Amino acid sequence: MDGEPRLTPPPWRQGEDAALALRHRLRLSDGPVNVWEVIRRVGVALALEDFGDEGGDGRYLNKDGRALIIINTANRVSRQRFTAAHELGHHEMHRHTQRNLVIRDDDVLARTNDPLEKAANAFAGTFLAPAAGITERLGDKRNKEVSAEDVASLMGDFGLSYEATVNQLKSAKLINEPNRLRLLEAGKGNVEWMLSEAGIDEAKLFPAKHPLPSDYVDRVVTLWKHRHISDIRFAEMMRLSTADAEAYRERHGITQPELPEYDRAAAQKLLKELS
Amino acid sequence: MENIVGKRIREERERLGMSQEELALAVGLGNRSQVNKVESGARKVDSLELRRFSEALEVPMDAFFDEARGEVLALARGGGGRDHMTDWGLELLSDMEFAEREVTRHGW
Repeated sequence: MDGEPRLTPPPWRQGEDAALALRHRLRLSDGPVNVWEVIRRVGVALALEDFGDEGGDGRYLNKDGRALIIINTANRVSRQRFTAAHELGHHEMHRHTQRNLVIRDDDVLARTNDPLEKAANAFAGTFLAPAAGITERLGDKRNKEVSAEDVASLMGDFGLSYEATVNQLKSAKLINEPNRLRLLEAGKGNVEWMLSEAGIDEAKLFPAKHPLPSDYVDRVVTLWKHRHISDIRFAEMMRLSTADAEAYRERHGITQPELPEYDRAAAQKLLKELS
Repeated sequence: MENIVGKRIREERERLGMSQEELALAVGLGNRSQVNKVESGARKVDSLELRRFSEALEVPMDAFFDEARGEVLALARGGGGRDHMTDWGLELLSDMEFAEREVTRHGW
């Protein structure tokens, strides 16, 4: 309405609303989700690659309407999943802001005043561990009754990092700020130990199965089978060394059909007809 | 035709934090005014020169004709310096477009 101020919800609210809306759209329960699968379902290409410890967390690219999320696999799996959900949040909330867009996320957990980043973090937390889901799993415990071991157990349920789980408990209003700080302190240097005590193998929690989008891989294989691309180009397109690409083809039984034997007489006959 | 190649060369050079003088030296174009002319569209480049630009600026040759890629890079620059992960992603997007186009074209 003209002249009336518009009330824009704060970024965290935008993120939470968008996360719950997506869960609703995909008919997901309040429980844990496989974020890799969800990214594929919403039509975004996903690529995982080791960019090293200093390589940053992830990127969201949208070029001419084609969206791509890249995740650095040098990080812990729980952090990879949080980054993936964070980039998914950018896709859900920010892809329409510009036709061509790249969002560079070197450290998704760093404190920031950028409203886009705040919204994407709120999206990630709520999407991976909605308040209703963690409340149900935590039972009646609140504030100081919540222990670091409880946090580790929730990590196993929802596949979030320790820090992200603690932050999500605060967002869900299950703990207050002093208890958030207490739990963060209690987790320092103890996360690995607590996870092993609880029998949780982080690497096995919802691991991403394919480093490259599977429809892309299928197309590359098709092009190679038809001899449309060389062995070297196949390796390049698969982001593998030529030796690894060959091993990949062997492992998956990918072969090219035999070429027909050269028939000299038939070729000469054809040439004659053409001339 | 619009000066896409020149514009893209300027974008890639600036991303690398390279001066026109340095680029001129790297591609063997004599001096900075020649690079300035290329970037402003006053001088055309042949395919051999484009190859040298591609090597000096560390991007594939077809990246110079891709305006959308330029726009994406302009945004990525916000983080400062060349971003390996963005470059990697742009190459993958380009290969994805190629694979889809070729498979569709041949009906495979």
